[in-house]
Amino acid sequence: MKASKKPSIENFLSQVEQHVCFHEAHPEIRKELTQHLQDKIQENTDAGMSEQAAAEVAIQSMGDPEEIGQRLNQVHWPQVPWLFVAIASGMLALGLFNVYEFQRLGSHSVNIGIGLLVGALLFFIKPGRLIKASPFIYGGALALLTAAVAFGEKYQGLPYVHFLCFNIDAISFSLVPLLISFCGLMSGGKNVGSMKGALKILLSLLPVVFYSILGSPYSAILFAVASLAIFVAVEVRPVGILSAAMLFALSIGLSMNSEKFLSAEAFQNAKMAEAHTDFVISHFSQISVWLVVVGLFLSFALISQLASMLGEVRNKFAKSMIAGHLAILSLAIMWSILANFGYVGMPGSGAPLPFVSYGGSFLIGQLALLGMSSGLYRRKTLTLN
Amino acid sequence: MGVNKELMKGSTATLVLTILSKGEHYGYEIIKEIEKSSNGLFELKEGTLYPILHGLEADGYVNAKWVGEEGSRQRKYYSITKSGRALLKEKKEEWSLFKNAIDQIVLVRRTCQEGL
Repeated sequence: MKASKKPSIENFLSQVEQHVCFHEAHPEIRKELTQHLQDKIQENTDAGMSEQAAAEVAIQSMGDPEEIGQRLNQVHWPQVPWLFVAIASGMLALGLFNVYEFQRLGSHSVNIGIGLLVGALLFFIKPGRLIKASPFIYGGALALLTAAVAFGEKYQGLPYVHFLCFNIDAISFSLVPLLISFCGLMSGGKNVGSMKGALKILLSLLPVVFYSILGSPYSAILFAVASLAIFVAVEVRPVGILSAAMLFALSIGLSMNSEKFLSAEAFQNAKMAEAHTDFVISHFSQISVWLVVVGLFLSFALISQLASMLGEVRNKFAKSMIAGHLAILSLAIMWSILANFGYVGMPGSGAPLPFVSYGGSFLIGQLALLGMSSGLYRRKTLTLN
Repeated sequence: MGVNKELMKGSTATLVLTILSKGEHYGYEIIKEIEKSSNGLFELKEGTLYPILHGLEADGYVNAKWVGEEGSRQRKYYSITKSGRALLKEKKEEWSLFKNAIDQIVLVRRTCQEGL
C-alpha cells in the first residue's frame, strides 16, 4: 500500500517543483506541501478510507500541480538587486579612475578581481551553511586576533600575523568573518538557538575589545555600530536596548580617548597612497568638483538602496546581516566624508571610502559584503535558511 | 452548492488575512477554518492556498516561522503583520462597497420584477 502511495505524492511534488525555477525554494515548498498532504491523509484515514484512497483524495484536493507551481514561481522568482550592484559598480569605476594617475591600476584591478570572487562565493553559498559554521568562523577570527595580540608585527600601524608564507592583516581579515558569524550566532540555529542575552552581548563586545587593544579604534567602532544595528534589527527585548546603550557608550569612549586620530590637515603632507586612499574626496575636489558630487551621490544612493533591501528581507539572518552591512557602510562613508571635510579626525588606520579608495583588504571586505547582502536579498522569499 | 472558482479567486487573500487576524495558523488549519466559517460553501483547491500565502509573506503582509524540532513534524505558521492588518481593513471597506453596489443592482431589480 505504502509503495503505491508514495510515488503519487512524489509525482505531485515533482510536478509542482518543475515549474519553480528557483531551485533553492524547492526544499521549503516540498516540506510545506508534504506536511499538508500528511495532515489531509490522516484526516481521510480517520474517516475510514484506505491509505491509498486517502492519499489519492488528498492529492486530488490539492488542485492542478502545474497551476500551483507556476503561481509559486511568480512569487519565488529570484531577484538580484541590480540597482544596488550598478551603484557599487559606478563607485568601483570611480575607484579605477582614482588610481589611474597613481599608476596602481594593475594592483587595484587584481584586488577588485579577488573581491568579486569572494563576493560571488558569498552570493551563491547557502546561508544555512554559514549559520551552522558560525561558531567555528567566529572562533577562527578571534584566534587570528589573539595571535595578532600575542605575536603580531605592526606595519603602517596595522598588526600582521605571519602564517606559512603569508602576512595576514589581522584586523581587515577578521572584520567580515566576525560580522557574518556574529549574525549567524544572533539569528540562532540548532547549536545556538538558546543563547542567552548576556552571551550575545559578550560576543558583540569581544571583537570591539580586541580591535581596541590592537590599536584600531576605527574597526572597533565599525563593529560596535554594526552590532548595535543587528541588535536593533533582530532583538526587540531589553537585551537590545541594553546592548545599544553599552556599545554607544563604548564607541564614544573610544573616540574621545584615542590618540590614534590625526588632524584632517594631514592631507597637506599626505603621501600619494594616502591621498588616493583616505583623502580620496579631497583628491577628487582638486580635479573637479563634479567628481566629488558624483562620488557623494553614488555613496548615498548605495546607502539608500541597502536600507530599502533591509526593509524587504524577512528571515532573521538576512535582516541582521544586511543591518550590520548597512551600519558599516553608512559609518565608513560618513566618516570618510566628514574626515575629508575636516569635521572629524582621521583614524590612524585610515577611513577609506568604500568601493572607491585604493587599498586591498578594505575593498575585498566591502565586495564580500556586497555579495553576501545581494545573495540574501535574492533569497528574500525563503523562510528557511 | 459550491461557490464559483472565479468569484473565489479575488477574495481568497482577504479570507486568509481575516483568519490570520484571529491568530497564527499553518496552511492546513487555514483551509479548515475557511471551510468551517463558510459552512462548507467555500471549497478552494487546497494547493492554491500556498502561492497566496507565500505572496502575502513576500509582500510583508504576513510573517512565517517553522515550528517544531528538526527531524520530527515541523509546521510553517503564519501570522498577520501590522501592514497586513491595514491591508485587511482596506479590503474589508472595498468589499463592503462592492457588496452594497451588487445588492443594489441585483436585489433592487429582483424586487422590481417581483413587484410587476
